[in-house]
Amino acid sequence: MALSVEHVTKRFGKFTALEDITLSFTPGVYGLLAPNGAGKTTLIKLLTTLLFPTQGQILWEGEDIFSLGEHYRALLGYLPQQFGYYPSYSPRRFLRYAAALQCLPKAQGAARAEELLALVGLSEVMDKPMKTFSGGMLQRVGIAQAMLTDPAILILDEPTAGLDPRERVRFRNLLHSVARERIVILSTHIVSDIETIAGQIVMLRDHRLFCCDSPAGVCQTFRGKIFELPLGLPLAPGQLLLSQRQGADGAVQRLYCPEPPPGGVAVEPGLEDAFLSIYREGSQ
Amino acid sequence: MRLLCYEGRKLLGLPVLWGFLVLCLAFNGLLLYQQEDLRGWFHQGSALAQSLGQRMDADFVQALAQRPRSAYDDAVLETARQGGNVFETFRLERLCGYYQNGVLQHSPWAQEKMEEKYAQLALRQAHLAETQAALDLYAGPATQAAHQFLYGTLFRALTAEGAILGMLGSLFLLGYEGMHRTTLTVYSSRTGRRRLVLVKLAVGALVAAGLFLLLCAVTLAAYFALWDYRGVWGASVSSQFNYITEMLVQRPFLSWADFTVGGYLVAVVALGALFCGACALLAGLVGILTPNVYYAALLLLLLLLGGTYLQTAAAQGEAWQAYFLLSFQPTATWLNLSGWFTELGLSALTPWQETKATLLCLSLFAGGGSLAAWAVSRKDVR
Repeated sequence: MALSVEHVTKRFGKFTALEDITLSFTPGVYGLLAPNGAGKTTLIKLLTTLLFPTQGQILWEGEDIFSLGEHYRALLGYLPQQFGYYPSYSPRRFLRYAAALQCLPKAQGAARAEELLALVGLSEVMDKPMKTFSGGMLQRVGIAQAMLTDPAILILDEPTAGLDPRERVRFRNLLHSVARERIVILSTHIVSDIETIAGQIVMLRDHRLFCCDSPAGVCQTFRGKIFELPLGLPLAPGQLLLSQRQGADGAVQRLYCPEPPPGGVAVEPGLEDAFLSIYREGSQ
Repeated sequence: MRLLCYEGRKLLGLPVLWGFLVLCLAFNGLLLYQQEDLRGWFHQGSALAQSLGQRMDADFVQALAQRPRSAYDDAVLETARQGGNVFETFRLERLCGYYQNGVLQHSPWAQEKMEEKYAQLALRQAHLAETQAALDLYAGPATQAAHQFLYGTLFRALTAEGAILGMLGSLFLLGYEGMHRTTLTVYSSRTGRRRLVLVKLAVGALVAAGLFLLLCAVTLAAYFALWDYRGVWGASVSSQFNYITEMLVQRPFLSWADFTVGGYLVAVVALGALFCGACALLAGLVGILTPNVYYAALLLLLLLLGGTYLQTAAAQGEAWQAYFLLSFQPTATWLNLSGWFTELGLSALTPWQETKATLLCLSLFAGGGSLAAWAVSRKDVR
């Protein structure tokens, strides 16, 4: 079970959204981490056949996904960044419609819809119109529709956007429960969404692939380069302020610095440090 | 099939659609409300046919002469006593020559085409003369006005309403996913964008035809409650009381097949349903090719009105090939509704023009829609 992106470039007119991306996905959770506008959604739309590569190809088990057509889309579960729905539909009716779109037999689609609505905790409201639902409830309907076919490839674009912290935790737990034995690609710019569940982190910078590594591997790159200093000390050239926090001995600032700064205490880098370092560097 | 039902329900669940339908029915009710005098005459014809039969032969004349006198019976008796069969006396070559030596005099191509059409019509005239279709009473002196009211007014309204509902329905369906931001979800499904767009086109056409039939059912139920057709159904529509006037020239109702009143009604309803389906497909095609449904509606309006204007301009400029080509467009077919299945004079180049034009439009728009759906599947969804 392998999905490979081979030297894919995507241009919109003169604008290059993605440049020469090569990636390989095998079962596991992939966190697609990049700031807004870096090309995450473009990559996801390419993987879901909504966009065509300008150059390069995307292969499923060695075959071009666009040639595979509906056979490839049958393997796909997709939750777009802005999950659209029909306000007058109930979740059950919406999922049955989605099952018809996925060409599932009627009885199987109906049973699967109920099963998934139970899984996402919406059994109680499965016949209520979705116009009355909160953002979190709608997102759960979106997850359920993405899971309808028990897909081999599950692609979730910014699934936690608009969710409150409690719903985010609930979503992460839900994702854990469905992530086995399939490729899960989870796009986000919120580091905490993926640092505990993603086996691999894919980072894009300047519309190119920056890295594809485990969270530990990504953090390893920054070991010995993240320091904490008391707040208020001026930053020297080459030092990047990452964040501030309240420490035991007062407020501290967290820095990225290639060389240990005077008075600085080296700390274990987290994924957020790596993210901020990479993209602050990029913005400079 | 399941997707057809789901897409159909999206459209039929639209309250505005039913609101528009009710308005259409109210308008049709207003149309039905008029023509009280004509209705009275029509009823006399129907009653006469019920008691004496439709064929105005010697027995009919004798029986009619023995009835108590009325202005209506006198008018029928006068025509029946003349015993003329209009299809034996009508000079078709003069009608053909009227066009050939008149507006078409500078176009040998158009003259030749008219010659061909009227040569075929001559065979039909001979057949109608032989079957003595002209001797059918239909509704007597009320026939022409009643026939024109039903087909020239009421059915013109019904087909326009069905076509408008169908076109708006198609555009609505094609814009539905964009409106609800579900495009990405549905287009990345196994069904895919090409098949889904095709389903939407098919649903648009089927719903258009279905709504037209519904409008017909309700409106005609009211119509037949008001108009007594009991003695009329089996009459030939080519009765000598029925005629058509085009470009100030009156000609008998020379139909391309033998139609009874009932058969003609069924044929018009059937072709009207196909016509509405074709219009919905046209709207679907325009909707696919246009990024926004509002632009699509505007473009559609321009296409329909512009086509009619171009046809008029082509006639004025004596560009007869362009004129006859444009006579296959939906608006031209609609404008000819009161003479469907007849020779249609200068409005038709070929026998059964309205039928051929409707089937051609259906095929063209369905083919165009399929191509456009394929093009959609090759385009980025942004």
